[in-house]
Amino acid sequence: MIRHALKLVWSRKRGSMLLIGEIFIAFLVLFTVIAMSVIYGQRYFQPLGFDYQNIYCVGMNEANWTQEWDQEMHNNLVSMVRELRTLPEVEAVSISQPLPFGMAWWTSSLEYNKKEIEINATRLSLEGQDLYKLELVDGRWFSEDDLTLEWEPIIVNQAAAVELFGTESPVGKRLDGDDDKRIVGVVREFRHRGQFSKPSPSVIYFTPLEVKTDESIRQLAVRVAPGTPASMEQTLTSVVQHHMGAEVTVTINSLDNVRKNGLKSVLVGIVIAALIGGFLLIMVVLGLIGVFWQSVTRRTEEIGLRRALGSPRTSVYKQIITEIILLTTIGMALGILLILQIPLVGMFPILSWGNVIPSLLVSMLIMVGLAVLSGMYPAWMASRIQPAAALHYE
Amino acid sequence: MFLNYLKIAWAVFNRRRFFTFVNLFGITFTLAILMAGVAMLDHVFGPTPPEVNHDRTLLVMRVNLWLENEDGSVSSSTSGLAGLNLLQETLYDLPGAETAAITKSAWRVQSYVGSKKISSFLKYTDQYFWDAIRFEFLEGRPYTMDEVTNADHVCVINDATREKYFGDSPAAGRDIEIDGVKYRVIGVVENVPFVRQVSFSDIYMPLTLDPEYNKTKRLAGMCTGIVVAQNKSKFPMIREEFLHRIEQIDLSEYGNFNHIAAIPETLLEQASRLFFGSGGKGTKFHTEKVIGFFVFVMVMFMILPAMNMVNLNVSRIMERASEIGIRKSFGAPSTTLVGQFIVENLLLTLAGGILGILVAYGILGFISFTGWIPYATFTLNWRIYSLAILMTLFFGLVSGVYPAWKMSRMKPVDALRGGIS
Repeated sequence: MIRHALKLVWSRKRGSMLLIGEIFIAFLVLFTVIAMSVIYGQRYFQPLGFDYQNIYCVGMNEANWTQEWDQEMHNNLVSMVRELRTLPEVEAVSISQPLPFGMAWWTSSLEYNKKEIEINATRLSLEGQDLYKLELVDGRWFSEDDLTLEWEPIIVNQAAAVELFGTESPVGKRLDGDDDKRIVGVVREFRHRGQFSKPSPSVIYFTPLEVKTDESIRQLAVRVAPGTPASMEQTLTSVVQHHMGAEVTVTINSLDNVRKNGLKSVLVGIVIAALIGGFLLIMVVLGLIGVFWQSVTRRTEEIGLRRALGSPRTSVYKQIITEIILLTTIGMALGILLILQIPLVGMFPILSWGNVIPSLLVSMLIMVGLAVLSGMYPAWMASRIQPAAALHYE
Repeated sequence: MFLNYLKIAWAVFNRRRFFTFVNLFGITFTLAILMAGVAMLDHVFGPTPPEVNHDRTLLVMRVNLWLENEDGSVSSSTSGLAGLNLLQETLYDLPGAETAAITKSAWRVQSYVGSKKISSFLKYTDQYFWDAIRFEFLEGRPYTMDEVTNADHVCVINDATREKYFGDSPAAGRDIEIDGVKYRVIGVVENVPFVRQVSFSDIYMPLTLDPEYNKTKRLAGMCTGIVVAQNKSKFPMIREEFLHRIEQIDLSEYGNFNHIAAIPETLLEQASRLFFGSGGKGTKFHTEKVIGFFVFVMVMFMILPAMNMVNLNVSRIMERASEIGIRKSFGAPSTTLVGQFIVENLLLTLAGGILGILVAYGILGFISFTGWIPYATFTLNWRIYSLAILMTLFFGLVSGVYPAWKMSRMKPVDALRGGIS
């Protein structure tokens, strides 16, 4: 049957070639959309490693604040944090820079044994672990004693530990470089750049609230007890203004809202790409229906003859569908050959075997489905051809 | 003759409505998406009001500062928007320039009207800004040089801000309060789309009101310089003088750097430098690469619909076998037939093009309506229409030539018999 179909396709190779070309390009379009969804889908379901519920981001700003962050302002901040901690609803207060799910991020690099890696960096204070409920898998969290150390304590996530140290335990290791950085702990994961970000190495620098640096602190993260009413926002505002000055503009956002806004902007992109891809595919399906329909009309003679010689309707139907599937397979095979080059050559680092293979499988399934769908009506038409129709021709 | 083609084309379109529909659907949709895309690009890069001098405007946006050691390695580098001091030292009175202005990037401020919180963008500019960017004033006037020098508490607001603060009543002469400080509104201008970063803001204020104004000396900061040239041919002259001037800056006053790179450039040139340049340190432009990239994307996008149409048209040859046969036996040359089929195909694509424009209107209207992009009012203008016509012609030719050639090659005998299979 397949052999026969192959012969029929071959005998009309010029017409078939154009069709195969169209299927080839349609398959590439389909793959692009599916691969994008698979990549983002896989990332979405990877654990974030931290809890973003019940966290408020408190921003403070004032038009007349100068660039310089002076001791007085810092003292005000410290007393403000002290008061915040006495509130029964507040569970943790910490610097968190940059804020998770934000548009801004900070990358730094770490080097050990001449091996350097790019790493997502963030600053947290003493209560950072309670703030985000980070899970320690090795070593310890920062402690108050760290304030007096001669060296700089850092905490990395598991991905960074594996990349830098392999199977060794990284705790206590000193990193290359003049600034004496030592790893004191390892958290399972801290993917603060959001659910659609690539799981990657991450480092936490210790930034105690109590010690003044040159950098101004204009943002804090506050964890409140579950079920705290929204009126908490007003309480926070008044505490901030009480200590920092009444003219300070306080902006309060729940971290969950920030996360949802970030999700929306990525989703809009995916939805637009999917809509465009979907429209292109609808067009291809309609076009294929037209082409197959026309080809059935043209072959009335041949099909009529087969029917006259006793071929049942189902067999004619099957023949047309087989031919269509065959054409689609050839077009797809070309596409697959091309797509497999991407992870082989490493052209786009974002496409790896882990997402190319499932995307290919899904795209193939959909492509064959679409081809069969577009062949159904023409095949049904072919199976209705009366043997007598064939006799018109000669 | 042509009328005859039209009649035949109409008959063909009517014969198999499904095929006509599929073809039209493909063209319409493809052109609509392309035009919506182009309209958005035009929205960002094109000369839309109030930036009417856009064609002869150069911007100084990005500046790179770095410290190069003697062995050629770079030990520290800063990159960002230009600083106020850099612009003050280099931008004014460039030969060939009509006017030059300095503005700071718009940033968010909060204010209260009664108990309602209003969040707006605030932009600090000098007085020349109003010459460089030709706003239409709905009320009042821009601030003057005296008001800028004296740091008077005045501001110009846009239409949307006027509505938020004052409803429908006029605003000029009234006060608004931002971060606890009162400012007098002296003018109201039309809204500018958010993506036009050079001119966009809700509230405009004299540069001297900026709390950071001349507090610290900075080469990199938050500012943008706008240079309006007398005409386009003065661009090289302006760039040369600018490059000469930044070489004169004593970098040691500003920190640990010994190299600086910045150049007046058009928006498109800046985009080309960001995408294809060597990290912004070079001053070479790659405009043709950016345009080439967009053309490539457009052509790639049109390939699938075009192939779809070719396939459909090729498979329809047989339908017209008897017509072709008769015309050929009566001596019609192939070229005439090719011409006829291409005209037919162009008619169909043109119809699709017109429908595409309508759909593009719908898409853009919808995007403007949802307010995803603040103050975006996407419109189609003659630039986009002419591009659409060009795309339609391209589409019509690409999808029409091969089937027409194939049709014309049919042997009269085969054609009369009912076509070759």
